[in-house]
Amino acid sequence: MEQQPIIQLESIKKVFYTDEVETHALSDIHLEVQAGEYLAIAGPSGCGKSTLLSLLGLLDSASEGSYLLDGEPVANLTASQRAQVRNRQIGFIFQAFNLIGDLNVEENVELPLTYRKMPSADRKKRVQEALEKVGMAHRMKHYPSQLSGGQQQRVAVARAVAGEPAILLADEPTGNLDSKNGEAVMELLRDLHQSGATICMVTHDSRFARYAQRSVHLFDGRIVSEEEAAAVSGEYTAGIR
Amino acid sequence: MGAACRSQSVRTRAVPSRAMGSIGQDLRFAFRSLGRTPGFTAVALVTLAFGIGGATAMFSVVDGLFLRNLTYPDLRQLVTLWRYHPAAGGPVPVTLLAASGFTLLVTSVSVASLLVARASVRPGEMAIRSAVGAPRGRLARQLLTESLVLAAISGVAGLVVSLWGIDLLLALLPSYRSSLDAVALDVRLLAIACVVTLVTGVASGIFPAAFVSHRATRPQPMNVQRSE
Repeated sequence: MEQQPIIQLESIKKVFYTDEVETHALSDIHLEVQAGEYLAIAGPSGCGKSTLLSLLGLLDSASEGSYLLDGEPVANLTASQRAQVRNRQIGFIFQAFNLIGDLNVEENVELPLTYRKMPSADRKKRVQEALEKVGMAHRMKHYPSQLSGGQQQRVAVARAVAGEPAILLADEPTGNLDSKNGEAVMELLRDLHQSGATICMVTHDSRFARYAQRSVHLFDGRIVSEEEAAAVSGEYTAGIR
Repeated sequence: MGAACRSQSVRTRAVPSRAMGSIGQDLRFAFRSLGRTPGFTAVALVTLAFGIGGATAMFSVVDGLFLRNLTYPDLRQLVTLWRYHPAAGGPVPVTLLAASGFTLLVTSVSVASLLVARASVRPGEMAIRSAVGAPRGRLARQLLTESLVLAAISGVAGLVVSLWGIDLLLALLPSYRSSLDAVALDVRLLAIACVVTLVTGVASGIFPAAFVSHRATRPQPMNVQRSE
């Protein structure tokens, strides 16, 4: 029996209306992502990558088409139901890390869990495990301003995985990092994928797209090509340093 | 069966404990957030303290001079005569009540404006909370907690201001000086101060909470989050 895709997009269209101007950000997008898959969404700036990721993450809605998340249609969910789905099924990793400056590392990672009905002891345990996974458990009481960019992105990854979501959505996760820290974050995502995580990552950097199992290329809001990529080997990562 | 009962009793105890935990968390974040913006906090506290203090003083004078039961043996023999204060141009209790209501309104609007202005310089925080799954009600509750914490601290300062305010008002109303003892710091004054503080806290926080939480939960593309 064929496994049901965790993400299923059919004929998705997204149009933005500003000052009587219609901007077709996405047109006729068909995409399926299987559970446990690592997908890269690549393409030049302005091609609709981030818009597509916003739709996948229920931060925005499609103008037309259908989106099934884990077999359930999401088009008619209320704002509060969408928030709940984001909280339970989706982990976000942003380009600019987006940690909250007033909260320390532990509280930032705990943040998504505080919006669930979860006992404090369970939350603390999850936070500890997530921070150990990214090698940041020793910085639990530090504030974001006391961390380097690479460390902040590791904390952001811990926040994304702490809730054990069905999918991780990463928007240019290396965009604000130098190449060394960028590679470290990519290695971290690869480790998460190898331990079973489903990842959709937006990138304009072909080096990092090759970390994924499959890449789809967007141009002018359409998927123009798709390719299976060989998993990046140690030799390859050594080669791009 | 026994196990099921035990499990149920654990669940019923856990729910209030979780609710208290999340309220405690909102309180902690509120104190920390206010501590990180000392300029805003100082201005808001002073504004609220004078607003709450002034309104409490006026309510207390009206309460002490006009609303409390008088200690005469047969109250039915008394008649009410409104006194007109030349400066106010109307009956003193009505003027004072109107003035205290207006003071509260101006204070609430001023602090609400400050809260909205403050929220608009940190839009990212609410958008991030929304992205990771905070429902709108929870965002609104967190913002309302901040304004209630501000109002509670200001309420204490406002009580001191209200004592000065009462002296000042009675000095301005020499014909009522004989009733001075009726207006004093007691449980009624404290109760009035608490009610005024609560009303101001809610009035100043409800609009910013609704406005900011609505804005944070609007659809927003990933690249908006990226730029913040």
